[in-house]
Amino acid sequence: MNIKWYSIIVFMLIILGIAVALHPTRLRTGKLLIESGRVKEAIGTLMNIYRDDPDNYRAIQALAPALEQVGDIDMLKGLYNKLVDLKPKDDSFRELIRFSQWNNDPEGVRRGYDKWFEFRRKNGNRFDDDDGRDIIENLYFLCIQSKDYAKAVELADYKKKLDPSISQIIDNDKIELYEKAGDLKGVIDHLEQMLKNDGSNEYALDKYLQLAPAANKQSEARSYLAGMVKKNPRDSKLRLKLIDFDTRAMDYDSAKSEYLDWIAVSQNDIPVIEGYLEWLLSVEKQDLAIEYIEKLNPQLRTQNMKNTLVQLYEWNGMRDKLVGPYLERWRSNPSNSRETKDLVWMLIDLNRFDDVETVLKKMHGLYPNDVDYAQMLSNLYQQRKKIDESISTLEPAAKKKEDPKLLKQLGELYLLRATQ
Amino acid sequence: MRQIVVILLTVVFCLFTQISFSAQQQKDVPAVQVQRNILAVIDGDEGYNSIESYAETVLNHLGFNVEYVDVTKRLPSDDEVDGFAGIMSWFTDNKLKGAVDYAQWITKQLTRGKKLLVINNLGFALSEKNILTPKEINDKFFKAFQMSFDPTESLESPLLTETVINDPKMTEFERSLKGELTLFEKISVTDKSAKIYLKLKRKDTGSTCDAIFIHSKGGYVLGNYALFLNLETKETRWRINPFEFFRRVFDTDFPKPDITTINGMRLFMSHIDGDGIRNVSSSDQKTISGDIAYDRFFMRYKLPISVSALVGDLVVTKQTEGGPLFDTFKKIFALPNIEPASHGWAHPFIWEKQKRKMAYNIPGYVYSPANEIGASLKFINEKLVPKEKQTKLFFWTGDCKPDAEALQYVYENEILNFNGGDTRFDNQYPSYTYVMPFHRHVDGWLQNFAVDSNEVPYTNMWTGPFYGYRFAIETFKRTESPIRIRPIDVYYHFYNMEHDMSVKVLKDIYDWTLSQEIAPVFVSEYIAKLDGFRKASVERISQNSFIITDNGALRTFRIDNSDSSVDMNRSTGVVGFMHYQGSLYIYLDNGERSQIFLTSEKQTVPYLQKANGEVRLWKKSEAETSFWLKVIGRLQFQIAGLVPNGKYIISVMGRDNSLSSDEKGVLKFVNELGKSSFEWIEVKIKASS
Repeated sequence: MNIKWYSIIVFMLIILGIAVALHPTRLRTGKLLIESGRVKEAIGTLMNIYRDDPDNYRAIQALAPALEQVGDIDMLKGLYNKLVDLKPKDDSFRELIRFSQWNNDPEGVRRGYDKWFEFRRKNGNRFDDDDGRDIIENLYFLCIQSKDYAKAVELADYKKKLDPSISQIIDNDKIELYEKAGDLKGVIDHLEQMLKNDGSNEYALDKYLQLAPAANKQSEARSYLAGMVKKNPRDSKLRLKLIDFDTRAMDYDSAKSEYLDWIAVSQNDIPVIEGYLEWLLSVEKQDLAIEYIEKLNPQLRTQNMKNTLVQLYEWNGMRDKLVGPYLERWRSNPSNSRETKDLVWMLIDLNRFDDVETVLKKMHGLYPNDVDYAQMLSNLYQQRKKIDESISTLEPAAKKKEDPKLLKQLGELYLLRATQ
Repeated sequence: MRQIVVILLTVVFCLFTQISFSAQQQKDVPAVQVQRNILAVIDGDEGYNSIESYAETVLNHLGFNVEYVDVTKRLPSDDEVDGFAGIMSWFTDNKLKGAVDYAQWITKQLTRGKKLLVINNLGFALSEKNILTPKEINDKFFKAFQMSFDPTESLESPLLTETVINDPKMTEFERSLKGELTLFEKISVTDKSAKIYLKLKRKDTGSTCDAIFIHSKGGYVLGNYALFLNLETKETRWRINPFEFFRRVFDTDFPKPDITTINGMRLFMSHIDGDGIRNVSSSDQKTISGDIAYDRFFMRYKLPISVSALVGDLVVTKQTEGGPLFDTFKKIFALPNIEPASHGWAHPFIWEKQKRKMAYNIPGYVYSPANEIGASLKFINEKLVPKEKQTKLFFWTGDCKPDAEALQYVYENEILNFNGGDTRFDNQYPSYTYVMPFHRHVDGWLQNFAVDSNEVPYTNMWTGPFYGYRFAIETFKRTESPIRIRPIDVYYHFYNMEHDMSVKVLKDIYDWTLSQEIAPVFVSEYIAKLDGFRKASVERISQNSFIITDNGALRTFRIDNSDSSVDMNRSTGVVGFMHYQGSLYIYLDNGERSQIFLTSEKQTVPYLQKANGEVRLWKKSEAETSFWLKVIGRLQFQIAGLVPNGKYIISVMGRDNSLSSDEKGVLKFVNELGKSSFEWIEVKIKASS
């Protein structure tokens, strides 16, 4: 057998190569020890590697779960954070967050999500996979919890991109976030954009109208709303919003014009007219309300409006204008003695004695036993120098009642008749 | 002479009558019953009870029992209401069946002088059919409650709302208001004596809102200014400081029964749910959890542990008497530091009748409280427990939400019930809103909640990490400081022994508890104290004097914000006191009748300042002070009121120990004991001659 010397060398090199290849590295040893359940030995081995090379992410990756098995969490916190710095990839972030969650460390969870979000964003990664959705969703709620509203607004936009079907909900949430952040300009810009995209978003419109004055955008908001009304002249909600807006701005002339225009467009719709009257009263324009009802086509005057008018006359002491309504009320219901007596006294004050006589004669006829009416009518006759009528009116009541005062009055009438 | 005799007799008579009169006057000072119950009015149709979820814990701490009445079903009579310290409502919405009746009833109670605390909605704006409550009825309420309300100025915009008055100590207890002034209503308190803690202003109209105030009629908190709730994550935080707020609304200036403390030391207990006793250790794959618990904990720690057996475990695996599992149970229950209990027969996971679900499908078993609770206790008493340790203690299983039928059964059969609540107060749940009250109320029956959570929520439903229960220490710490609001309960399952890691964590927790000043008891003793809490009666004799009766097993009473001392010479039934966290803790030696006199004087007679167990037969004479102390594992006490730097002989178990008091006249004694059973030990203290 003739073996060449170089063949032996080659053979030995091959054996050596195989031995080197098969000989486990310290890292592999550590991993094998973990797999065989010898965790403490594995930790010893892996710790040595880590000490020699603290940036060896493979060693950290193997060491961390081993330490977790024995519950050495103080060291683990640092390791998982280091791992995401050394090897920023989804697995590393996921592990850091899981570890923080399991270890009662909400701040660690937040930091983990922050880092993961920034990592993906910087690298232009998308968020439309399961991890991405998880990052956006959880970080969003964590930001709200910790009052980091500015970041929550940013994340809300990601949420919207991930699920366009909930855009409106997110946009509405953003209003609240801007408000909580105290960002008036932000919320106004956002609302203007929302309304540009969808003018029918009532929540956004209400917020815009509410906040615009604070942002010195009173006229812009009014113009927008007036434009909306112009486009939808029969939309009562919009009309009311505009009137309410003008009223809050104390621009009563504009609000009045709006109401009158609305009444015209609605072709004298009774509820609109009644709304106008209520509004006039709420802003203390009673004179305008009186004028409006007086000029209103009587066919359009509801009982409610008539009552309002009477009330307005009363509040404003317009007694001459009350005669007609009071007489009408008396004619339709003469049995209300308080109202009738009020009417009589008012007529007396206005020197309308013919009307007084008419009323009292009718009341005396209806209630002949009512001493008050008899006495009032008798007094009226006396005043109008109709002594016989005065006596004949008072006589039955005075005799029946035998009231000394009435009898005295009757006696005086007898004397008066005798001296005439 | 005769005259002299007459004069003398007269003088004697006068003196006698004077003395008698004085004595009579002293004796007849009328005691005033302290009202310790709060009437919580709820709307049963809301499906949620915020008072039970959040407020009751605090009210319990302030010494109150809470009774609930669903005002959609009945309105209590005036006589019934007279038994309460006040009324509280926390309606989620403003719609109520019988809104008008309720509005008139609550107005009447206000005019009768009852205090009312309203959180969130008044509740009666609308009937169940959305009919508005008439204005005149609302107005009468507002007049009686001394507030005004104008609904036209409602606003939900933090940008347009600012604070005019804000007392952050009261309004930002666990959550700041920054960015969260989300609700404005035009509300004014008309009571001039009111204290307003939060007043808001609309920036656009200038209207103001008294959002949080306390006044002579009670108190009011608008909307979400009492509690922060994250609707998405369901996280909750108190905004108001409920301890301070409720304390100021209701009269809380009385000795409050306290279940956290025994003679100054924190009450400790430990209990085990019987699940998983057969589970083998993951490290040796053969030792069952019951044997590990026996070796590593029950035998090793001189602490009382209440251990429950799950009978279904024995039945479904067809264990026989004399078999290994029976033996394990028997040796456990034979230990002096172990109190036996039942964890059920088939172990309901869900107790609610319509959804009831069992852990074990046992042939022939049909659920009834008698089969589940009564039969399991009978089985345990007959087959597993020594005759002298018969038990009537039951630990609820599964979701721990027993229905009224099950609760009625335990009360009618005098069975002590325990478990549920899942209190946590840690980084994950950093709020008192997660500290549950003493009880759950079910149709007038009371379920006794466990003091804190077991390992399950800490370990992802026992899927790992298995060291998770170590975080229970956070809860133990936060429920101790700044307010000692709960005892310590080391609570776990047998299956906790499966992993070396979870065993180690449990050992760490027991070791930590031993490093604390604790007074250990069995769970049954704690439940007896809860009963004492409910029944204790407090009568006020004067500003500084109280009579306590019917306190049963509960012997600690607490007066908050007090630097007074107990007048040990005048008081009866009092063995000692201490000051802790600004409160005066007072210890009684009986459950029948004690009289407490407070004083500003420092006490110079011996009194108990701390002891790690119950005390009886407290005696003091000029020569000696003696008492009996019930302890396990360790004898520890502190006597105060001694001569500063005095030398004393402490006689304990036949041995005399020479000790000196410190410069404050306090003598401390600690001695580890050999036995792991509760012992009554006599202690004698006398000055060294």
